[in-house]
Amino acid sequence: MKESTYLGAAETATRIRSGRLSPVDAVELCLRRIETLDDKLRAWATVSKRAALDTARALERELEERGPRGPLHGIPVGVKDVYYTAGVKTSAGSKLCEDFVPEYSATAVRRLESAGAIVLGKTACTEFAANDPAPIRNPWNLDHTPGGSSSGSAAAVAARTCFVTLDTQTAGDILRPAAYNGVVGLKPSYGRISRHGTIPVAWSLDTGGVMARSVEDAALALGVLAGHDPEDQSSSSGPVRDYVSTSRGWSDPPTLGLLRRYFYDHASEKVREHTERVVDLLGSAGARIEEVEPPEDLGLVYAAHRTVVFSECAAYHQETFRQRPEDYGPKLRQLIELGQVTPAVSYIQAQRLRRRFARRLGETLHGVDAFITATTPTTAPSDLSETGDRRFQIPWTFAGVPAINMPSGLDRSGLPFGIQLIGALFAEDRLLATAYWCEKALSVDLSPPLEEQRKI
Amino acid sequence: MAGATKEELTNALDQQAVELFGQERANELRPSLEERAEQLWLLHQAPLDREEEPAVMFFP
Repeated sequence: MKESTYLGAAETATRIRSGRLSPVDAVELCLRRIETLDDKLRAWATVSKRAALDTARALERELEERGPRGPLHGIPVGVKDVYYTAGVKTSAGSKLCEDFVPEYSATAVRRLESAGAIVLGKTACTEFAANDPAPIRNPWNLDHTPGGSSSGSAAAVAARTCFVTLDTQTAGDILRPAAYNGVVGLKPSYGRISRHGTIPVAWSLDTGGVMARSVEDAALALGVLAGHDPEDQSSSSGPVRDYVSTSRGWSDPPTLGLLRRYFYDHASEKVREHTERVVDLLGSAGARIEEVEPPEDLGLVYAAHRTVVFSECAAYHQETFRQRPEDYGPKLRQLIELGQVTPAVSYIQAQRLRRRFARRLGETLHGVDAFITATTPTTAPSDLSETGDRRFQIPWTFAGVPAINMPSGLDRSGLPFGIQLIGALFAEDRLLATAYWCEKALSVDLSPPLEEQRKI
Repeated sequence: MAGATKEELTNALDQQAVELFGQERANELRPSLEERAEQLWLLHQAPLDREEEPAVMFFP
């Protein structure tokens, strides 16, 4: 039988519901891995050991007395340190928030808890989820970046110190670290998961999402997290599907729109070759592959996205930055300064372009189940002062459409490759079903070669 | 802005930076101001339909 920490969230939840594993066992296994591995990885900003064990015991009693609270009953999860957690420090990787303990939890955190998940603690991230890296390491190679901004979450899931993490993406903050660390990363449509109770980067772009070990686990978590929240003015009131059932129930091979232009121009040779191999494999398994053209100049889309991020980020930090500029890291400081000098007309032009791009993208996606291309131009770079290239993930965040990274193999130096699928706005059910089919066809199961893992 | 050259945009951003952060910091920011100006230039070259509205918080 597989070690419990090597199972996914869905299988673990099934075992807990049937009494074959207790929530306390699941938490203790994860805590043991954190104790053994996190000195090196530093993926966790705060571990709430006592609270997690107390919750696990309460959920154990609850299961006996009343049955499971929800689909994540007893599942240990991590929460990116930009989500408010009542009574637990929420520092967003910044000196400015080092003593901030929220009085309430973000809506998304409350939804996880209502579904029976156990919050183990807060996963570390870059400063204010921007570009100054935290000292988090990539479990595949400690000298390579884990990406960002959700670097701690990606490392935590890859090292199997928890089953699922709750994250945010403003540029490529979920998909890129997911690719670099060999895990599944899902950024749903903008508005699908509530932003209420999160520390923002750029309000009109910030999107809640998850990391997990499989597409099914991501679908399970999305089903819990998705849904309208009156406390978030950008929250969608669209229907929420049973994403696990729709994924499992899909058996027809999908039609995939392969994006070569722009992506192949910027990708390394080994990433291009790998992507072609993956597409061939999916084609051999029955998927129909059609090459598609980006409906807009993606260099222009990148420029527009940066304009929106810089401007909104500068607006959010305006007062604090004036009072305490020395408490900002060099990259965030520069980002705010560039936002301050960006003209309002440029911001509006960028948002106008965004609307056109989103519409055109929707039209292009109409003929396929999903787009497919490489998630990142290279595997994780060996530069710990940066978080990697975000240009392959930005178009989808800018258009607000859902995207998912799936691990698709290892390069010669043992670093994970990632493939991304992009779906139509609010069609997460179709995207996840396509991803589920592709995951089965690729049959890739990655686990980082951490020496310490052998001792656990 | 629409007809400005990259150089004119860089100078405009540079002038703003000097006013807001001082000459020394503006000098430090010069390479990123040039990159910003390049991005803004690209953005303002994009032909947009007059009826295209901005997409702030535009999802239901």
